[in-house]
Amino acid sequence: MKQQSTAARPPVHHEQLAYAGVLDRLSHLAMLFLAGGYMTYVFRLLPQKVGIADIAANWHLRASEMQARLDAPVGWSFIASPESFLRGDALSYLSIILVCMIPVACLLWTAPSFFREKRPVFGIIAILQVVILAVASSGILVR
Amino acid sequence: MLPPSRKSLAAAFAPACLALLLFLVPSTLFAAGPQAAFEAAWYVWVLLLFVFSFVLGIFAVLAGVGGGVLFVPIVSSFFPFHLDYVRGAGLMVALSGAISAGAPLMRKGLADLKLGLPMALIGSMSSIAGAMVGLALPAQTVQLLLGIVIVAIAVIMLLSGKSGYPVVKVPDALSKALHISGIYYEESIGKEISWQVHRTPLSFVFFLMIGFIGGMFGLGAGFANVPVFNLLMGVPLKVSVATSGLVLSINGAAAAWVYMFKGAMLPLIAVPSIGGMMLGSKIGARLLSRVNTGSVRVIVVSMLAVAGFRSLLKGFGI
Repeated sequence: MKQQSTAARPPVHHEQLAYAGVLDRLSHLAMLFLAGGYMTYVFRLLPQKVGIADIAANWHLRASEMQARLDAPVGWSFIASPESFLRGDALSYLSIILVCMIPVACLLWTAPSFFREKRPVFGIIAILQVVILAVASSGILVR
Repeated sequence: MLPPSRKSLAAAFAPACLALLLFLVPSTLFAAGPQAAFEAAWYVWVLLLFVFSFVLGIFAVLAGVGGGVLFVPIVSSFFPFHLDYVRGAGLMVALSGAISAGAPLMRKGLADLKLGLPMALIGSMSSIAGAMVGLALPAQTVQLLLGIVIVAIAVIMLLSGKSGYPVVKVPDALSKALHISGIYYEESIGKEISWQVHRTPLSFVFFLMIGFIGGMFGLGAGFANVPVFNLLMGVPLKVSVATSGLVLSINGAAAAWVYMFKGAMLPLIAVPSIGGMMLGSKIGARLLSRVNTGSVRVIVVSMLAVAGFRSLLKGFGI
């Protein structure tokens, strides 16, 4: 570690700024979506696939046991049909999915910058990371 | 008006009493299970969860720990939700906190992509595996293991040191090949700090284990990422803390999908936890300069130890 006396701030890599820019915008959007989706859900502004009271009556059970009883939204099940999508619980669930998708969007945006800046190893690492997250989000691993 | 030392003592006293109360009051009073002594409407629990997460958010920032590591053991001990949903919510709490704090840290050059991405690649694979194992094991076993892990974390937090600007004389071959090094502006001393790393291959092994534990128990794992970056690899403390957020945002996102596909992610529980923790973190950040963080850290570690022992007791069916 070296300390250098200078008032000028060191430049930050272009790809890092690209990642930060997408992260900034999407994180604000996701937080708004989280709040809006939840309000829609708990104030019952839209119909629900599984009522809140039913969830609350079973939240002491294991996830597998609750799922066997209630068929609440899991994975991408809420986009099975337009009817299942336009529901309060599905909307709130979608907001959680959006939060989980943020790193994917950031990495997809940043990967080309790594190649442009002649850092292909990190471009490949970013793409591999996207593949891992895509596999996780496909549900293949838990079937 | 109290002098600063008394103020910090007073600030430390209240949570100490809270921790003691939590330890003394029987868990049935908190409805930590289906045989709840305290029955309440769902919205009461949701509001309590929001307030509780808010308070945890304040203490997490003041103590310099991530939200998830406090959230999972305490909420699973004192709320009626099954551990599956608490772990799912814990991952989202850690993930959301890291995401919302990430952009400014990256722009300042504190969170470093070149340092974080290789570790996240390894950690995300093991966090998925950890989440799958955690949801497949009997709940009581997971509760018992959670207790052991949390008590161990409390001990590590008490004993482990930290180094503001570690000296790495010779970087290892892998970090040299990957050009993992950096430079950032340290505002507190008005100087640029350049850094390089060593023991990169060994760190991969550690991040593999940390990812597994984080995914299995729904913990953010910042408690472990930071010492590995800082003490093992020789990364400056501020860069370690900031880059840890980047790593756990990717690891958390990977493991969260397993919880979602297994039905262990309930928006009813996860969203107020995220909201409360994020608001609390913002208040905590404002209080940071006015509170004796050393005292708060000791109290938070004590609370962690208490929650860990409670998890152990629950794991033994006591």
